[in-house]
Amino acid sequence: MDLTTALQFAVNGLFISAAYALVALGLTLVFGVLHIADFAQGALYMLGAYVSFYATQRLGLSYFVSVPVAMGLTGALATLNGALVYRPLQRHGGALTFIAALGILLILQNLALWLFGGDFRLIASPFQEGKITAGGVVLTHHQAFVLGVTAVLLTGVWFGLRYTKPGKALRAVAQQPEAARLVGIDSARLGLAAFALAGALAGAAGALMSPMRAFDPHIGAIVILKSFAIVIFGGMGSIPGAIVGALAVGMAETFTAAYLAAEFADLASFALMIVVLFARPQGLLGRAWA
Amino acid sequence: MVRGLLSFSRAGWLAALAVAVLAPLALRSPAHQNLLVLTGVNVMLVTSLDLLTGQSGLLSLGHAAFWGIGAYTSALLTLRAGVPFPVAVLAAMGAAALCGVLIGYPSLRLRGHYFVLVTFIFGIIVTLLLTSLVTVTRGPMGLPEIPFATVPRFWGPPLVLNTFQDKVGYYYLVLAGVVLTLWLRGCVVKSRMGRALAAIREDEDLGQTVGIGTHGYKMGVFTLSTAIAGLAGSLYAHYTTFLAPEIFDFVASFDLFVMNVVGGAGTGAGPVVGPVLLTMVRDLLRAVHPVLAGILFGFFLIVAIAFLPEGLVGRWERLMAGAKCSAKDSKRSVPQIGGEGVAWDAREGEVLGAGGGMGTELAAGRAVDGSALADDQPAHLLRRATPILGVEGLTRNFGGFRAVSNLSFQVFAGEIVGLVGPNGAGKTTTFNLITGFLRPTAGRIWLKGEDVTGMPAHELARRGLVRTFQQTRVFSRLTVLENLRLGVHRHEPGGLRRALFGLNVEEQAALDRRVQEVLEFTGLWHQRDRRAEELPYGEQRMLGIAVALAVEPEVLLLDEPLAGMNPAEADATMALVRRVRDRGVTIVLIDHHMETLMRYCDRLIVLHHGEKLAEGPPADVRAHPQVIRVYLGDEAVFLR
Repeated sequence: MDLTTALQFAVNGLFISAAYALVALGLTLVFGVLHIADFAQGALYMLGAYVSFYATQRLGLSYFVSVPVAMGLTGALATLNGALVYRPLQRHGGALTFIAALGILLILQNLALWLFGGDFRLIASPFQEGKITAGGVVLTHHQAFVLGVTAVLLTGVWFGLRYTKPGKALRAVAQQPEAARLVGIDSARLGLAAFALAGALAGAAGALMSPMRAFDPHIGAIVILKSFAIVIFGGMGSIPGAIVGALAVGMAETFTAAYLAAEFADLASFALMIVVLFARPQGLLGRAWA
Repeated sequence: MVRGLLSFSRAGWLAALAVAVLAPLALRSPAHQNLLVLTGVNVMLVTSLDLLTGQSGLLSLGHAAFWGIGAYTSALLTLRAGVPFPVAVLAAMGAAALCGVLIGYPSLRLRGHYFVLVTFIFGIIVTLLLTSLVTVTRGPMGLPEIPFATVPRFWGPPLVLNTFQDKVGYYYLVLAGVVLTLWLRGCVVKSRMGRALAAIREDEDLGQTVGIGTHGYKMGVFTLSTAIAGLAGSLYAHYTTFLAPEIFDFVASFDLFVMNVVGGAGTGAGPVVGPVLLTMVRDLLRAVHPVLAGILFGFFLIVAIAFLPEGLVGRWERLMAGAKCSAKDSKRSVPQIGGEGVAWDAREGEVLGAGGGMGTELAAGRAVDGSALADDQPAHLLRRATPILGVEGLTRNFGGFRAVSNLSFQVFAGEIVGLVGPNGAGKTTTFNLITGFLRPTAGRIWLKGEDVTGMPAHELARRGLVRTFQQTRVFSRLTVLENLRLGVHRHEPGGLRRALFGLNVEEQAALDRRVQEVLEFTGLWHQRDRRAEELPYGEQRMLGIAVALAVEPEVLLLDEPLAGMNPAEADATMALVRRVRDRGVTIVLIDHHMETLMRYCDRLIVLHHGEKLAEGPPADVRAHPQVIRVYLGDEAVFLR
């Protein structure tokens, strides 16, 4: 078990974490603002991958164009979900909206099965086989691209929440919805903005990963379950928690697959999640909530 | 509570059973009979799930995992170890229940959404384990050739069909399981345990206050529910003779939940109607187009949640009950399966109740007290030498803030002691510390000479210490009588026999007497059949006290019993408090109605910034210069 191999796994883990971080960020954002565990975002990840696939294979668009197109479409779909399904349901409380979210996930998954078929797809990376090698550790150009885009998106969201007016308003709604209403913040519109942002992030993750990981209509469920694990791990509603959680789950998965057995990789992240739930119910970086 | 079971009458159940027994005769095609068996399994699963969601307000999103554990346990035991079917059934129930205990013990301690999360993740982990433990379960390839259910020869007369190979025979076996499940649920719902579960669903804190050990009941119902799921799993395994991990994945748990919600969680017939209907609808849709079925099913579900959150049976019951239920009710009936119901109700209750007044009964009763009081005075004066409750160096920090600081006082038997002080002085925190809702940072609490520091609320209630809450807190969706039945919970004899066959006549009569007495004492008898949330504000507050009295406390802690009352109402309430004291109950109360407290309390304890400022008879406290300056302001208004 030499150091170079371990480092290589760490790089791979980091790459997987990037995609998870994007989805988990959206999930934690929506949960923080609206207290909805929006599992439909898993389907948006899946749709992001398919948009990228059809844009490049059928329409002949550049892959770099297909990523923002996917983000736009999934963001719009998420907003639609928010307006048509979640908002009317919200008065019924968290449990029923969660069920509805699962319902949307299943509807979209079945729609995809119907429209796109059940075959696994993989698209060609625009970088082809290009890679950077440093001391025996390999980083493909596509991995570097994904890490870069993720870093930009995460920084952008962080910056936006911290310094822009709508970002501040979002944080205000997350912390004190009533007080935010009192000072004139339109929490319904902001909720839709949170949905749009989360949807775009999930779509971006799907499009970014589509040349690296084969996908079929069922991938959304797996991704969202993992992201949910991450959000619980890091603390529901906590943004740094989502990023730390994504790293933990990505690494746990990669190293379990490498040193134990590939079929235990998924188990590792959920085992981690249940340990955290029992030991520290509010998550690593979360505040207590009940 | 019992409402659901009564609305679907005994005749209705018998008719349903007759239909179920005759169904295979009418439906002769194997596909239909197959559907009957699977429907039966689903009814068992949803009924067991409803014990959690509908009866106890515990959301489980991993129920299919327990079903799967039962199925795989039973299948593997018969397949690999040649264990006979009846033994395998018991083992399946045991395995599922054991997992339930292991998962439930830590997660049921926590409130809020933790239980949902833990069950949900547990469900995913079970599916992953079934998939990855290839050597045991054959993983994704599935487990084929599971033996049919056979019953050994020595069971029953030799003529009895002892291999359930044909669908109709197996259907009757499953039907027996369904009937057993429904009967068990009926027993639980009507029993002492069922009432405790209703208390947990409505307001867990209040349940603990009246002496219900909620964690134990939650563990009990979860164990029972998972054992039934295990039974359903075993019946399923030996019917299909093939198992695969994805049969029991999170989508399956989700389906069960949907059947429960659409049928009506917590209603009598809901857990039967939901699975029967949806199993058939899905089958019809699948016959049309398999993928379309998934889409339409999801769509129906969202529509059902949006327009029918109380479920089909819930809606039907409401229609039967008449149009008296307004839109407000439909909103209220939802959080039963959500988590946030309590908070909403409390908030609304205050708004709605603000205009209500105290019943005239109380005001009328007051004239009588005056004389009763005079007669009883010597009796309780004699007992005053005995300290019954004491705190010593009691301290509580919240982060850097010290809410209660080195507080010591004693309360003597038969006293009425007022705990007063400005807002934020630490009064309610002191109550929370004494009654086990908060753990003290330092200090000790004594009750009747016993150190009770850190003891949970329900243990304290059993030792005779009961509190009420600052906000109006009653089991708002239950009737006044049902509220009181929870109050007398700790006086009700338990045990398996009573759980299965009910209380005997004397036991029932004794409980009824207690309930009636308290209701007459508090002037609520005429309201006994109304739901608590329908009472005017003053009567809701009185009901809160009545429930506490039904526990038969020796020490009663009242947190702002006079909040929101005008002076006449406050006087009436205090007169009642004094009558309670005259029956031998020691009383500590928090309030802001200084004038009233001065008149009715034997002693006052003044808190300021978490510390004791003064203590003594009202007249002394009134004259205490510190109190005048700090608490009442420099102008000493009431000395006028």
